Amino acid sequence: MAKNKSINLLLQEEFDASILGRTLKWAMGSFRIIVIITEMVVMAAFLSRFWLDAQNNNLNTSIKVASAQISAQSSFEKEFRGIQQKLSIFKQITAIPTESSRLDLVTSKIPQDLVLSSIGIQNNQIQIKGTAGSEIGVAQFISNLKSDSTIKKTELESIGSSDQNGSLLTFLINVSY
Amino acid sequence: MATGWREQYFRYKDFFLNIVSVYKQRRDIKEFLELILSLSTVIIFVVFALKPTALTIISLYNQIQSKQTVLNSLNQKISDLQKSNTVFNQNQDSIPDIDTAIFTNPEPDTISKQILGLASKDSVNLLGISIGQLFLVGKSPTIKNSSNLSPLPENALSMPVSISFKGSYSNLFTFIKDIENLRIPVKTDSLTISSSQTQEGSTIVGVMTIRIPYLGKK
Repeated sequence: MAKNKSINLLLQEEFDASILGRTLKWAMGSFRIIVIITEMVVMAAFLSRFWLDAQNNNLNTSIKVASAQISAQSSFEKEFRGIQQKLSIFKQITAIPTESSRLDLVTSKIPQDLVLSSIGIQNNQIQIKGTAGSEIGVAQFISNLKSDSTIKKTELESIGSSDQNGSLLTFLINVSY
Repeated sequence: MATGWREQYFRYKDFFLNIVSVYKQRRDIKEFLELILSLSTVIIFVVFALKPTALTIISLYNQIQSKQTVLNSLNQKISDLQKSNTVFNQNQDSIPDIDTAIFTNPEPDTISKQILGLASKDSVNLLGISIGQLFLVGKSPTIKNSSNLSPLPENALSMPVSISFKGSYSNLFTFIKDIENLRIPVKTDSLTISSSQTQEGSTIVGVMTIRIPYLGKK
């Protein structure tokens, strides 16, 4: 008995018409494109690497040349920086008001009947010792000192009769600036 | 033995031919197989070709970016050096004055001579000059700064000098002023002027403590 073979000629069309068939057909078409794009990307990436390598090498060469240029001028740079540093030191030190100007300021405020025996200037403070004929003279001196805007604080630390001459007053004033 | 492999051959031949016939007949299997093969191709490309290449490209790109930044900085420095060279050449005449004003290394003899000269000029009797500890040769160790002394600008090293002098007030004042106005800048730490009565009469004595800055480098 001969084997009964069935031939289904409508199978392909049915498959094409089914959801699975259409999905697979779409997927196949899309995947072909994806494969092609992937290959193109791989090739582009592979080729771009050479371009990037060349760019990297060019940069390396340029950096070497620039470094050599800078190294050649290192002694000049050191000298120039030294001069800049010296100028900065000079500028900053000379910007500070001098002690002679402080001294001048104090002496310019002395009233007539007052004599200073010592002036000490240190750490933004002036210590003034002296003798005066009267309390008014000391008060006038303190008032004169206070009138100056650069002086922050004026303190009369002590006042008393002079050991050597009882008619004179000795005083000690501390000034902060 | 000879018939053994032949049997196996026919068996597997039939098996593969069956698969091929199924593949040809069944469109869905064909499509699925192609789909799987396409997916495999994409995965193989992505994992073994695209990923390492992409990583290398990213690394190269980052390297190029950082090198470009370095190169820009170097070019800027070269440009600045050229400008500074021009400025240096323009002010060539003033540079020896700057070197005289701020010593590179301490020069106690120079400052002593200057003070002696000023004392003579201002008719001041110089009682003494004292210069603090200095390292004239070799690298100076880190000197601990006294707590009550403010540091010099630019972390400059200092040569401490103490001067005591005697004379009339106006001469002392001029002497102090001249020291402060020297080409060598001085930082005055303390200044004391006191008068005392002696057998010879009234004497005014001044004591000045100054610091002379120097770079301390060669």
